[in-house]
Amino acid sequence: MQDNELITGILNGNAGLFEDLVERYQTGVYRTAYYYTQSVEDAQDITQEIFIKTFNSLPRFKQGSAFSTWLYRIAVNHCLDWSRKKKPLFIEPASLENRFDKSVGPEEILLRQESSEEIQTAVRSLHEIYRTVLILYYFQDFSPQQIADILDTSKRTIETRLFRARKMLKEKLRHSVLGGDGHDLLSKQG
Amino acid sequence: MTCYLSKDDWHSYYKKSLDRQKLDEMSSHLAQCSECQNALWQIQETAELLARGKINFDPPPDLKLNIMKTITKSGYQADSNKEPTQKETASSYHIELRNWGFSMMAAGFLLFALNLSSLSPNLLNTQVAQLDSGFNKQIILPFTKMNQLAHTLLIKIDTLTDNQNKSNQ
Ligand SMILES: [Zn+2]
Repeated sequence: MQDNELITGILNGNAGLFEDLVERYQTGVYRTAYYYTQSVEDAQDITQEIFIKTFNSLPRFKQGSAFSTWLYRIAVNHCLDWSRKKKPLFIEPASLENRFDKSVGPEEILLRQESSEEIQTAVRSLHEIYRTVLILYYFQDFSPQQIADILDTSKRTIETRLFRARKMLKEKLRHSVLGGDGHDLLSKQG
Repeated sequence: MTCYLSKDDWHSYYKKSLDRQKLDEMSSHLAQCSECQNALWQIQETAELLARGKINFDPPPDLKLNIMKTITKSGYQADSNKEPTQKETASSYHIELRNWGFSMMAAGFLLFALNLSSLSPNLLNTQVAQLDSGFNKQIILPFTKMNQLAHTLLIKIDTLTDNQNKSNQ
């Protein structure tokens, strides 16, 4: 069943159909929440809240528009609200077993985890408008037009933000990745 | 050479999220513009770097279960455009009935008071209590009966409302 058919069914009283929507989108929403929180517990709580909020707002969903865009708008707003309220305390590493492919050796896992978290932290340290476009474009694979729809702005604005976000990220990573010896991962001029 | 495309579409180009014509146009421009090549290369480079920050773990299995449990327990909550439910309609009917009862009581009392004043044209409301005991009895008797009747009526309406609420829960 298509998203819109499921929503019609839910609004006609079959709340159980919402499970299909959760199944379809929970991974994307959960991972998005993780990029904002860097905590599996917080990501789980936030994802739960996002879906409950979505369910309760379903009667206001405009049939004919894209449910995914609408859901991610609720998700991003919820994550941003969370970020504004919560002061960053400590960054909890997710368990290794769940985190990466089991085919990779333990040493490589550690190396990858190290830089993966540094990269996530750098993204997370950016201003929320730049953090959000990086998460949606590079981590969640949305196109600039889709991001524009989610954030209710123009595609042109998103393109500009993406270029600016890259420059800011470059500054953050210049000294943090690879021991701060001036080695620049994003070496070409931007 | 003038770069007529500027940088506005390169992130869309990288995701191939433009129409075929636009993609072709940009591809042929790219072949001869080093500035745009550089813009695209930066996106490519950032994508490779951030790919290392990507996570691939899935939500815990009880997540969906918890969501569905909360939903089936509470139903719609934060919905401002909600239609009135059966329960609300039933209770509001009883509230109307109760209000109607009060109105009838008030009207009855007014008619009774008007009758009294016709018996004694100069009688003021405050003087009702000072009337002699014989006349007092005449007033109190119907008044007590009316009170009892009204009380019984109101209790009946309240019981009806309560029962209705209970059966809806
Ligand atoms: Zn060019």
